[in-house]
Amino acid sequence: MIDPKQVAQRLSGMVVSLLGLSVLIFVISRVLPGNPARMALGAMASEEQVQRLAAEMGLNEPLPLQYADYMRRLLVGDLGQSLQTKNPVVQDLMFKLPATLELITVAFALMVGLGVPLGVLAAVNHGGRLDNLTRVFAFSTVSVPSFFIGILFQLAFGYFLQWFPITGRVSSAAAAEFTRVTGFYLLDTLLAGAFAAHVDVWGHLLLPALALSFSGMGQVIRITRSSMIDVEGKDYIVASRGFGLPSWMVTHKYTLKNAFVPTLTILGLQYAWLLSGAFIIEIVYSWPGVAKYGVQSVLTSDVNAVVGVTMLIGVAFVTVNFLVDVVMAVLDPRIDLTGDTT
Amino acid sequence: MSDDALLDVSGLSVGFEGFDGYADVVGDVDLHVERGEVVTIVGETGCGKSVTTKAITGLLDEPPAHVEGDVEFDGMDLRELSEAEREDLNGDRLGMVSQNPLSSLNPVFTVGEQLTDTAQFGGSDDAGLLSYLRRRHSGSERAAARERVLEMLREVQMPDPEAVIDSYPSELSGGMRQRALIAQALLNEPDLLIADEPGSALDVTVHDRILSLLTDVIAERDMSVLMITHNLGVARQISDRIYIMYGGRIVESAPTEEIFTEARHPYTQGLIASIPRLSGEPMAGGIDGSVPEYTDPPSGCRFHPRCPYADDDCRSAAPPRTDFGEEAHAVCVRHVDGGPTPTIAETKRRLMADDERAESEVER
Repeated sequence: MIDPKQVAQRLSGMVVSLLGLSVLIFVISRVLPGNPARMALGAMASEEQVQRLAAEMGLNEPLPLQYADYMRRLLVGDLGQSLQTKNPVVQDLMFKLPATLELITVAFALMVGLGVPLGVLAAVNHGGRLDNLTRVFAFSTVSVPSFFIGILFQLAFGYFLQWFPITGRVSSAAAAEFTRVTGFYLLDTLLAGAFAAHVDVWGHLLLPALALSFSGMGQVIRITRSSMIDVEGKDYIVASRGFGLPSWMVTHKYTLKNAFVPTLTILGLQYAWLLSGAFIIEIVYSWPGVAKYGVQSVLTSDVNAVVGVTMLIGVAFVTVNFLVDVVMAVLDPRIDLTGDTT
Repeated sequence: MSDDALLDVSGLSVGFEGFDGYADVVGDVDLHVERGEVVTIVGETGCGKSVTTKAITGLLDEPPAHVEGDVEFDGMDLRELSEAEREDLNGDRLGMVSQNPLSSLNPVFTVGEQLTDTAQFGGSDDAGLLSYLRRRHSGSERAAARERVLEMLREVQMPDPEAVIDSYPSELSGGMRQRALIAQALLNEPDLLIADEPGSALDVTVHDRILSLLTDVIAERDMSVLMITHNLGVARQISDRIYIMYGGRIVESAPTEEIFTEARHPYTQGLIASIPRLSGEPMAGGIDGSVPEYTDPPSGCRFHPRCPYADDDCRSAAPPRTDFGEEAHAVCVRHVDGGPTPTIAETKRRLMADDERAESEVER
């Protein structure tokens, strides 16, 4: 179904994008205002000390040499030391990443799990009351910023109704019931057999994940709806009705698979956008993830950490889009992974 | 009209609400198909043939379409059926072959998946989600359905059916896709096949092969067929009886041979006069003008702006229908009162005179 040669070709293209990304991040980190050595040592350090550290960090070398050194270290997974935590940046990222991945994965699942069915529902009833309801919902979720939704949820469900905790990833009582193994608390609690803690983790996850998923969900609803309606008018759908196939089968099998391809493009971008959207939500919910770490690094001019976080988001974008392309080629046999038109 | 007609349409009219106002496309259509009879509707592109069949098969969205009239199929009123009853009927008793084979197969499913689903679930009454999942994945039933699909593909002379069944439509040629669609329509042995210009989107040689294939399978099954075409030659090759349609109205109907020997409506006569002949005798250059605008149709007879016989009577009122024996009728005022009775020869003479006048005007 999928030609491995095409996948390999697409992968090599991905390597090129990653190389370009590394150059971009390198240049940006070097042209940022401020001397990293000075920032590392603080305002009290003498000029001599700063010069010595700058030499140690290789900041006096010509830029191409610096880039070669940066790439050499990047390839062995060395992103330097965080000035803020004094840990290797990679170690920090690895520790924080599961929290963020858990958050955006649940947000993504909500986005797909609610967005696609709502879109289909709107398309099936298009012009009807349900369609208008989802339209209002979609436009409000797209146009209201996620931090506002986040705060609203905290107020409504956390403060007034007290159904869910307001901030954090797990309550301290529940945290004592399991040990960190994978860093994904939903998994860790299950591994430890601590079901009460598992439920507690879900409670913490739900509000931020929902707030994070909303803006993408609106887009998913609208795209799914319009491509469903578009496909419904196609000759092959009219023909399959003519062949007397049950209407639910025509809608959910024959129309949806065609209509899902444009939705999938949006979903791929959304998954990566969730990562950047998490920057806001993680602050609002004090979620101990990569994004909160990134914001703190920017605020403290922690260059290595900023480069690390940026790199991570870039890699996520490129990887997710590669996966989306592969899934699309599986769904629609006419799509050529290499981008050549036949 | 006899009583045992399989399909009996009377007073069918279809209009569309659009931005330019109401388009009155099809009106006063009476037609019927007897059991075992092959009937064609002939007319230029854009004269409402496809809309008529879509209205009959219930494939028009209402609104924007407005459909009125009676459509009776084997004693059932198709316009009154619920969606579920309709699904039950379509595929099972009513088969359809659509106009464009290139766009009528779903591009993201293999031919086998689509045809096997049609074989298993097309026109079946019991196919909820659960029964679908059970039957779709029940090895023996699925395999049997697939075997039936293969058999049908062989019957429509599909080259290498075992490979085709696992191919996506984009991997097949136009002729192969048309064959697959014919196979799909025949899978559930419909009583009535409605075919909308089958093969006309393909090149001429393939089109011809598709037609002779259709003629064969129709003859073999003694099926009733309602076929649409813009090509009188095709109609002659395949059908027992012909309806001529112009501007959304049926203007003439007669058994096939009668149409070619004694066509009565000027439009039909113009079409026949414009058929190229091997004998080398001169032919008319066609009927000037094009099909009417439906939002603002010509008054009276819709054909009058292009008719070589048109006079004030034609412009003022819709023409009456005149019956010629049991099976033939024409809708033209010339057959009722006065003026020269249109004949093929006379129409041809007038059309050719028009051609000459147009040519001399160009020269000047």
